[in-house]
Amino acid sequence: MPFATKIRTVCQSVSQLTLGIASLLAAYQAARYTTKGYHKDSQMAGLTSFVGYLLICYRPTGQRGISFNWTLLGMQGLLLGLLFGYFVGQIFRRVGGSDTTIAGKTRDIFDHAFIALPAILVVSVIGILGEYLVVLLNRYSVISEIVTRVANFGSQQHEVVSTILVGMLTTLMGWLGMSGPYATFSFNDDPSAIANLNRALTKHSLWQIPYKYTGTTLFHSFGSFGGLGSTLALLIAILIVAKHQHVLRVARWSPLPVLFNNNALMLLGIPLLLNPLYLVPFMLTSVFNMAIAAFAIYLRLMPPVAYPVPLGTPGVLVAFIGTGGHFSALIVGLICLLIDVLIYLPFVQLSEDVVATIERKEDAENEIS
Amino acid sequence: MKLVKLKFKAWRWRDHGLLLVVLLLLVFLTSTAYSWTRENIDQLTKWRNSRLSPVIMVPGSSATENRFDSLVDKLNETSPVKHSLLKVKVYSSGKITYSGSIRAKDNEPVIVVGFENNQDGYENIKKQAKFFDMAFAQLQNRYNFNNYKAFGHSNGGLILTAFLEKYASQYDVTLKRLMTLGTPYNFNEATLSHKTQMLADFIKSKKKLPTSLNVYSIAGTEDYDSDGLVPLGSVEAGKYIYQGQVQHYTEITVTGGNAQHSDLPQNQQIVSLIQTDLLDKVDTN
Repeated sequence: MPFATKIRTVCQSVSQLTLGIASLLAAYQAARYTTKGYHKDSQMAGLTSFVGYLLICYRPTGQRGISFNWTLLGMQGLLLGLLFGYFVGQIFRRVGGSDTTIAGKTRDIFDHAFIALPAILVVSVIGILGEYLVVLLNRYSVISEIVTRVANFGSQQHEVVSTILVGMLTTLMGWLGMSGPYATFSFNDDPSAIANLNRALTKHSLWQIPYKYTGTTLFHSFGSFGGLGSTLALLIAILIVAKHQHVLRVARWSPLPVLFNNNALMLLGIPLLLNPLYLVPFMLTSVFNMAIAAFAIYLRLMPPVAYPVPLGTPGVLVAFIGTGGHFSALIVGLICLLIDVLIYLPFVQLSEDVVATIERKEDAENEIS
Repeated sequence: MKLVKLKFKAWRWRDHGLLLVVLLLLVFLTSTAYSWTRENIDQLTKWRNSRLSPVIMVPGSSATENRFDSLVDKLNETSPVKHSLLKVKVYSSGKITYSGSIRAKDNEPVIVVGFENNQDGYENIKKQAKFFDMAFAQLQNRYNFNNYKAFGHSNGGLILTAFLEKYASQYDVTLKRLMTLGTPYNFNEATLSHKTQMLADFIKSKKKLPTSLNVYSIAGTEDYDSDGLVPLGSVEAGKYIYQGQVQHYTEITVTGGNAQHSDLPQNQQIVSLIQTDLLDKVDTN
């Protein structure tokens, strides 16, 4: 492909400065909307939260230029960002922050800034303490140790039940905006996947591989179509029945990224993250798919996945490619997807109804006032 | 809780048409994915099989891990690729020591496994097969090869045969070719009318030998029926173990100079046989 490196550089910089700072933006918005809810100065709170979160993510290097902890700034720190923003909002509610929401005149802006000073001070101190804590945790590699332990724990599961449980945990943590045991999981880091591949290549057959029920064979091949929680199925369900314009608009923009397993748009746009309406199907689809896959492997209806799959393979095709083109695996994948859509349908409808009720209520309130 | 009622009313091109496009894209991806994954698997298989494939040599009784030094020198004299030499010694205590090394990028190194207990006799052969198994486990773990070639001089051939029948099946490793040199499959008995316990045991367990294996049994002769130490009949008894079980079993008899039992590993004729029959073909391209 011509200009491949240049195109990649441009794309990388764009994604780094959008998805790469998702948590920072979340901290900003969370603080804004929290203070807005209490009719306080949301602008100042948002900016303070923005800078405060940057403080937490700041990484002192001793060299010129500034450096940040990109893991915390990106999607993986989303929960932390949201909590931080909410926390800042609460501080603004208690300590200072003017009552009007948006400053109109220049004098007002000054007023707002000075009234907000105590809150800004508190947030800065918290930010610096947070930064120091992160630096300390990194110095003693506490975080990386936990990440490695969790990932290793994930790759050591070879039994049906434990694999499904770890898959559930990963999905639940994804719903919370965190990175679970199977989330950062690549083929080469999974010893059982390597062992399976070796056996498959020597025996020229997939039926005799040693570890049949692992994160690779169950979770990555069936448990996350279009990203965690079978987001592809949700997208299809929304496109079929949803009427609410906001939801439909997000869904119409999503097919391409979701097909290639990037569900960030849906997670934040629908939203799925921390949305109790979707927790049940989010978990259920993933568990159901893994159970069906395990059962199909047990009945020898299809072989387990052992061959490597290119990054970004559409979720439904992972099993097909990973079994070297076994159509039975493709069919099991499609059946799983169909069932997932059926699981999601009532919840999409429920969510539509709930949103409609809330809007009716808001309209009624507006009319009264 | 009130049951949620599904409301699907009219066909909407904007949303349902989008779904159809996604479906078509998926069908297109499926067809390309199929050829991609088949090709990828072929390449992985080739890549995997062309990797490290050592030659493991086992010396006979009274010999040490240094027994094949001059043989390896001779192999390297004429060979286009140089084989590095790793020597392994297994002590009766179970301790294993290494000398020499495998050069990086050498896909066909020679590994010689010698034993502290290098005594003759069936009981010792059994022990040595067990020691060989210990060394093999460590080597396989260390270098992670999935196929190898084996060469046994004299009792070394017996140790390898015992290993193949008793221990080899537990490894996911293929022995491609086995060459034994002056190996007394029936010890010092010249005829089959005196069948030793060892030969009887080997024949009894012959079904455990890998069917894909190619075996070459080389006999040296000073006169018409012996290499001066091992009777020709004892070497030829190997056919009762291997013939009909492995893929090919080939008997070769070498005469002329240096055909005495202990001189065999330095015999130029045999060095050529190792190069043509035991070692992998060198890709000259």
